[in-house]
Amino acid sequence: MRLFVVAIFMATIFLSEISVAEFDTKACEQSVLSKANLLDCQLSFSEGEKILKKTFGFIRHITCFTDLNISKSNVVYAQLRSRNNNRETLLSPHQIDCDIQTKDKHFKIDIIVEPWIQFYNREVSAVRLNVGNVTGVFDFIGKLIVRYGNDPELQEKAKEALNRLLKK
Amino acid sequence: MRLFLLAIFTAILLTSKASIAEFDAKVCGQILRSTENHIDCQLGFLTNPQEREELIKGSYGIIRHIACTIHLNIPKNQVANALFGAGKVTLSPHQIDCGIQTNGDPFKIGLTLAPWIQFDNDGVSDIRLNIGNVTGVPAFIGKLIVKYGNGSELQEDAKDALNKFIANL
Repeated sequence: MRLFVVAIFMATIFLSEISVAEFDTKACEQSVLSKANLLDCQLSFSEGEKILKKTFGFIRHITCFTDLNISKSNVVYAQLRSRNNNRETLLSPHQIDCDIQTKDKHFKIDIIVEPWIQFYNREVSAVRLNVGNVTGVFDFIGKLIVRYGNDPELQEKAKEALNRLLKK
Repeated sequence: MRLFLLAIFTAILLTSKASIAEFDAKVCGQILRSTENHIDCQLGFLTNPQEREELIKGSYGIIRHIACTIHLNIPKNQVANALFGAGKVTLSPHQIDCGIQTNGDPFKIGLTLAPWIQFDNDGVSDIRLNIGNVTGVPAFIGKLIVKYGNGSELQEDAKDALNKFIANL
């Protein structure tokens, strides 16, 4: 169960290619293991060297955090009921607050995601990250982020990452 | 003869879009894709076969080919800062040197470009190429080139081109 919920974290943050180690899940561990249905905690993520390479040096470092608010029962119900069936769950909108660092400045940017996950035979069969409403940057940059975040290839990677984690 | 060629060249420059689209971006491409902060490289660009044909036609066979080089010196952080919030960027002056091949003697012309770019929610909202220091031609022709290079039509074209580039990212 714990691994499953941690896997959900990963997919919801839409940076599916990033390794587990770069996420700080400590704040959520207690909430994951508790009997409470609501997974209510802060998840943070930071990346330096990789983002530097991915953006060709334009961005040096990025730190993001989000306050998770996920109904465990909804997710587990969808997974358990997915035998020979497509079952889906839509997570509530989550705001991701990010600090972007260039060589000499910091910028704040907020992104809303509302992930939709579909299970089939207890495996994730489809993911829609539903990235939208980017604030803190010019609209045209926000649109590029939304386009990237909702790119089918990225949804596929999020699905694969989630399934890999589910199998652990 | 030289003055005549320059007059033809200036006339072409002032009456056409004067696009020279074939870029040799190997070196700059590598630096752009590296994590180095400074894009510090030599970029070459020249007329492609179609443009060459138009150039020859437009100059009545006198000007046959244009090849230019520009030494780029662009700090990536300045561009990133402009995109993420500062909203505007002024790049340091860049020297452009062009060789003009004619049906007679070739000649060279140089100029500087110090672009200022402003962004808003829709993309590039304003651009000033800030063309100056034209060398290799008589002063009066240099002034005409500066006037054309800094004219509203070319700034608008440059803005549209940059916005198209952004839209295709």
